[in-house]
Amino acid sequence: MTFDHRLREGLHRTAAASPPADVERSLSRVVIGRRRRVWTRRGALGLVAAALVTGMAVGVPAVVDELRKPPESGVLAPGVRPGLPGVYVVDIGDSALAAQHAMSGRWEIELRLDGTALFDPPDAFRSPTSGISYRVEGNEVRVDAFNSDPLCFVSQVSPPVGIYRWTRTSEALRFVPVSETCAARELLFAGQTWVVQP
Amino acid sequence: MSAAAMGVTAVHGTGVELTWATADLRAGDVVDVQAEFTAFFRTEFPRVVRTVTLVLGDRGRAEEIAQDAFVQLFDHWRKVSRYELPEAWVRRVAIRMANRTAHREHRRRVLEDRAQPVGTTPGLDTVDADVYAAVRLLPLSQRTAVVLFYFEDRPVAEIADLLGCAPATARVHLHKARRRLAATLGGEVDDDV
Repeated sequence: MTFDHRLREGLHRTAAASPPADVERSLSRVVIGRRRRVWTRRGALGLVAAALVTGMAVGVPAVVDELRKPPESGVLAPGVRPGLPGVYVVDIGDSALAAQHAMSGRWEIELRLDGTALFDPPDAFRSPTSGISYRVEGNEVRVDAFNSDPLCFVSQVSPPVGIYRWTRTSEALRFVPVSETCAARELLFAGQTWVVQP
Repeated sequence: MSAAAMGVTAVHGTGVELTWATADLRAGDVVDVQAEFTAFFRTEFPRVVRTVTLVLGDRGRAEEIAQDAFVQLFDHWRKVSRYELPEAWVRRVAIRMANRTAHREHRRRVLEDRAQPVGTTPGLDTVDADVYAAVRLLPLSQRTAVVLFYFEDRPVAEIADLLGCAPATARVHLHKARRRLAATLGGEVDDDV
């Protein structure tokens, strides 16, 4: 007997000596195993689909609400660079107070990054507009405009500072007085919307 | 609407409902395809079990692996049944699984430091104990090549395909295995494969 023949015979006899496989029982297991795979796959797909539906059901209205909701005080609307710095235009209409202080007309105001503010008032306005500063504290801003002017002057010891809650969108800046003793400053800040300039 | 989409099932002798989870088959197709798979299974399953048993030396594990391989085949039957050699597909899967199992077992034995004595073959009665003991001493890839060549009578090209290597590599596995076996069994290797 050749070496190859001996090997072949040995392996065949060894395999034949083992008990025959229970084919029908194995077929049942294969069918069940395959069915389990199918159901597992379907279950996984179902879970993914359910997660997507749930995510959409919860997420889409939340996003829509968020988009519809007016921006909260001190919270910038999407696309607006943070903080107040920028150039704004304010048109003060004719009113008794405005006429009293010659404030009627267009104001151009620049709130600078360093906390100073440049005011370009209507020509008729005569009070000093230099050395004005502001400070943002969360959703509030403190301004000292017109402090040394009779417009707002109350006491040299404790110069009044106006405090406003601010809201800004991509187009407008609005102030709501929180603490203010100067009517003229309130007219300028809270009397109308400041229009954001590009 | 197709029969499969309506949930048509066929009952075979196994007592298990064979459900074909495809939506584009007609009722007749479902039964035909299932009957085709069942016939293939009855022919090939015992052969795959025997081959894997010889590779692993563990009859119980071989049966589990063969079942898992046929589950995969069942999953892909519509495609694989159109292949020229569907039995090669299921063997390739089974041999790959057997290799993974053997490597895992080897690592486990090394870690537990209680290697199984050579020649112990759970569930396998060895009539040619010396031949099979010598085969069991071979490294896994050589052992698999020997089983496929001598037991399944497969040509080197097919062995390479089943092992997932180049024909030259399969030839080297066989060559080395034959030389080792000849040294162990005292035979004489004359011609190369």
